[in-house]
Amino acid sequence: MAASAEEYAAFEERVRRTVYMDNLSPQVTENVLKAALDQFVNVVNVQFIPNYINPQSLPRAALVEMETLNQASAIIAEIADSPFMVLGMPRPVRACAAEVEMFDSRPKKPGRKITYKWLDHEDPDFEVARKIKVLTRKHAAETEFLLNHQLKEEENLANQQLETLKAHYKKYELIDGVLSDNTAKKLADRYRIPLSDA
Amino acid sequence: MASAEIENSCKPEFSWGKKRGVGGKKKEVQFYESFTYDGVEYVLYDCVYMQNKDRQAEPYIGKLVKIWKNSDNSKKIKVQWFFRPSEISYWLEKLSVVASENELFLASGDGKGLANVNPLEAIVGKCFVVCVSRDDRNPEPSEEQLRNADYVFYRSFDVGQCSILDKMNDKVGGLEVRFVFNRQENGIDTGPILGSKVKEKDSRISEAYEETLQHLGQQPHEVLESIKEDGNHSHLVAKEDAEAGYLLSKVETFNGHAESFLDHLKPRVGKRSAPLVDQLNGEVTSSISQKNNSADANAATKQVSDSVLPASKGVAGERLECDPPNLDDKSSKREKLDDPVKLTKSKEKINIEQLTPKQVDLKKSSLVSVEEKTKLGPRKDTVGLDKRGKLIKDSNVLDERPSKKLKVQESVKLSEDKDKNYLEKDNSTTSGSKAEGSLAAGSSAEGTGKAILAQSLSRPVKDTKFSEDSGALGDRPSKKLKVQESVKLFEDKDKNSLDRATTSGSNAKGPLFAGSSTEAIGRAKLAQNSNGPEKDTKFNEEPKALEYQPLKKVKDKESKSVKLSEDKSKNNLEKVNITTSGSNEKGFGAGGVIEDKRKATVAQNSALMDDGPSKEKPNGKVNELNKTIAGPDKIHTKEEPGEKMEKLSKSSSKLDKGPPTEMCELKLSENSNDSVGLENGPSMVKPNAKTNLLMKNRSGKGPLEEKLDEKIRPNKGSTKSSNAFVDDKIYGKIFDVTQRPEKGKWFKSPGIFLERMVVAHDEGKLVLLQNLDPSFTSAEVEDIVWSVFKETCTAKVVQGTAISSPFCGRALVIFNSAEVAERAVKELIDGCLIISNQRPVVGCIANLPHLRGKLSTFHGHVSVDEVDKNKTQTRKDKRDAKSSCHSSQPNSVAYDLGTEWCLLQKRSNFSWQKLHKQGPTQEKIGKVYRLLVYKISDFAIVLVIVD
Repeated sequence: MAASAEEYAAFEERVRRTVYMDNLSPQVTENVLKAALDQFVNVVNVQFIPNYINPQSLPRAALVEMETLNQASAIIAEIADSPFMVLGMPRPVRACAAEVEMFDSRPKKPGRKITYKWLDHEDPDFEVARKIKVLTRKHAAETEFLLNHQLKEEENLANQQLETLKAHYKKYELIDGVLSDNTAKKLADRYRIPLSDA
Repeated sequence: MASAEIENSCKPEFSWGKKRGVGGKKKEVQFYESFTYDGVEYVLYDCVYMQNKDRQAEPYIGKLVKIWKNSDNSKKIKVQWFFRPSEISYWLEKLSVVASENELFLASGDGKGLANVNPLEAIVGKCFVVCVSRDDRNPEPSEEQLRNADYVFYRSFDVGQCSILDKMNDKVGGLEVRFVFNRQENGIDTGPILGSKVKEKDSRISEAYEETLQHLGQQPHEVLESIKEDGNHSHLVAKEDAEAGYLLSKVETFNGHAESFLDHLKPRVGKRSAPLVDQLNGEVTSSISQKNNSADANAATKQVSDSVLPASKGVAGERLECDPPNLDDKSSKREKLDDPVKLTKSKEKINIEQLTPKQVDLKKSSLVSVEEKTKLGPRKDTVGLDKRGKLIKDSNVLDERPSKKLKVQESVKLSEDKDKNYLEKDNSTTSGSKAEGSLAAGSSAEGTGKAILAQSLSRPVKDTKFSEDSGALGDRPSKKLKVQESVKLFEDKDKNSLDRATTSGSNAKGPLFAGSSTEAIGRAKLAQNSNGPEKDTKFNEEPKALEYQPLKKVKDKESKSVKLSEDKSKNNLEKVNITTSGSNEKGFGAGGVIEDKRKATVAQNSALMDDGPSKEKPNGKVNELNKTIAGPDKIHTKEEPGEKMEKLSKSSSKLDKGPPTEMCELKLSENSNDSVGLENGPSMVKPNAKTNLLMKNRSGKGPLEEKLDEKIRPNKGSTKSSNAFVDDKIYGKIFDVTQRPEKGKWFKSPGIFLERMVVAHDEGKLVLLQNLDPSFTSAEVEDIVWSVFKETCTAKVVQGTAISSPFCGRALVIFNSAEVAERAVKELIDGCLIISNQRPVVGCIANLPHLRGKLSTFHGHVSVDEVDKNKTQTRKDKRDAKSSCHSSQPNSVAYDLGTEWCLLQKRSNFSWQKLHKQGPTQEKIGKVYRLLVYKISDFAIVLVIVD
């Protein structure tokens, strides 16, 4: 089913209209995303990118197809401008232009001919290819490491923020309590500090 | 196999194609040659996917051998099955047969599982199966075909014997071998090819015959099949079918005759023929009577013969196409022959066409025949006459050397021919001129028989035979005719007997003729076997029984005997050989012949330089037959080759000594000429090459032994090569990744990939491919896997994300089994697969522990309720609050926290960029291609950045 050039051109146009969004919570659904973006643009289609090989804790990613090219670029600019939070705070989503490789059902590149060959063991290139294969595995390991590292960092940040938030909450609770049980008023009286704006 | 009737309604678009004929008692059955279903045109002998009961399982694969519409408008197809290795893994293991994943085994033999009648709607799609058999009858598939092929096959699985046969008999499970092999013309998928058109016509006719027979309510089809099978594996057939039993009995009787012949031959070289003839006649008559006993069988045989004729024609046409130059030569020769023969222009034409193909096989014979052809021409004419009692004339003509040559050619051409050759040789050696005369007589008888057969069957048949015998143009045709006649003769046997009587009337010629006729029949059968599967099989059964008794019978018997009684025929053959050898001893390769009954065929082959190729073919056939018959057969065949080789060498040496050698040489030289043409042209198949080698060897008389050796080697090489073809990778050669043929819609796995992936992961058949071009699509990955490993799979490209490497595409591939997955991974690890001259593919069994892991929590969304447990907000409120999607305002806490997240994102982005920063520099590696060389990123730096 060699995709015709037109078909592929249409696909590329669709790619340009599409925004890649990640850092999405697993609870985010197509409807949530549509609702979140409806204030800016008309969403045509939302496709979540399945996560087959990465840890499940990886945030979800989605491809959001807009009506026009301008809308896509506008969304990207808007989300980059200010933290855009979907279905939860404070972690914002991230958006960038979609790429062809992100699409699952993409037509074949027209006119491309794939060839293959088995390298002879005697071939001097065999050693090179072998090194590249090792390198590929190394890269994969590195990627996995970095990914795990990043996830850990995210977790750390989340925990830290939670702690911060809790501390803030505790602080506010304390202040609130002091104010509500007249302790503040008594102290003010004691130290003769006006509490007019309390 | 879905046997349930499927309603025509609510089915995809459908239209019939060419009609082939009608059948059934009331002509209510319409046969078709092609049809269009769901937008795909299917032509007879196409390979198709057939719906599997288990829709999840892989579809069955079969070959369309019959298409018809019943009176109730139900559309039916008969498919001969291909077996996947997995389907017969039990037997493969038992037989220690190694099969590659994309190899199929064609059902052969007789028994359950050979073929089924299914509703046409059970077809799910077209399957591209390429025959990679080295058989020289098989047009070598082009690289493109191989790339496009879903599957390849070169072996068959005998459903009766549960054995693997390495070679194709003339008929494979009732299917003419020419329909088993690749189509002559360009496209596998393209329906009929130009050259094949003729064939197709013939085949149509033959098929129509068969169909009609079948529909007649007789066991005809079975009979035919059995006959055919018998031809190929007469023993098997016999075992299975009562008809086969008839055939077998006939064969046995023939064998007995042959033995008697042999005995007779032994005592008298020149005189032998007469008694033999008489015996043969008696045998023939007996066989005829037997045949008569089973009228159906006769009809079937007739039909078979008819069908065989067209088939042979078709084959011839194919061959012609293959060897246009040869054809021309042959045609010219044939024309010459035709002129004398004048029997039937059409036949001649057919012969011409056939000759080209035959020439390939029979080049030698054709060469011989060239000279002989002129002679043969008369012979043929005489044969034709002989058929009607003109045999005597033929015998006279046959007495001439041409007849001998023809005989020789025939023997060369076919294993049967070999037998004949031996006989002829014997005759020539023993009774010099008489022997020649007798030989001639035999040849004439053969020729007459062939002519008769051809006439009786049809000229096309003759042509086919002739094509087979193109080498021995006139002779072979006549032989073929005889064979056909013999086949038909079941009816014509009387005639034959008469003819023989007439021939016998001509004394030495008579006997010889009889012997030769039997031989000729056998040869014809052989030729048929080699040429038209159907004919051969049919003829083989009868002819083998009859003629083969002498030599072919010996061979066939050997093969058959392996299957059946193994050695009655062999014994007979041996006897025959002995007798012949006795005569041969007198002559050229008599000794050689004597030495090897099987060898005899070989010896014959060797004796006839042409035989070499023919031997290969016969051997191949024999082997195929044996294989089809059973494992033992294989053994026999294996043993035989060596013996044959030895025998051949011996025979060759002998041949060199005797005048027959000269004849052979002459023939060989002729053949060599033809072979040259053949070699140049169509010698795609190794067998051809072998034949060519043989031919060459033959051309060099002295070097016959060497040639034989060479032949042997080539044969081995061919088998190896064929095996290697399937099993081994070809290093350093660049192949195009071809699109995997589209399967039926239902074949697409309906399940969600993730579910399948999890299951596959647990079963160990999930493979992760890395370092692919990121722009590859899933379908392209499937195509790659298909092209490289010949395995079907379900592939899914791992979709790119912001954190995935922009340079390294990954894909998950679900193979059909863990074994396949492991093999593929091992090949990828041990070897080095370069895709598009850029990337070595890395593969590993996917190990994704997280698939079974619990869903980890998403970090970063601080739930408010954790903070304000004391608050009285209802869950609903909270949910509403959470579901608010907004751009955070700078005056909120969330904004501060969100900014922290943004900072983290930026940092990770930078990390990823750094990690993926590969100087995708195209460095020239080696001289041939470029590889993407990554600049190894310094991970330490990344860590620093991250931290």
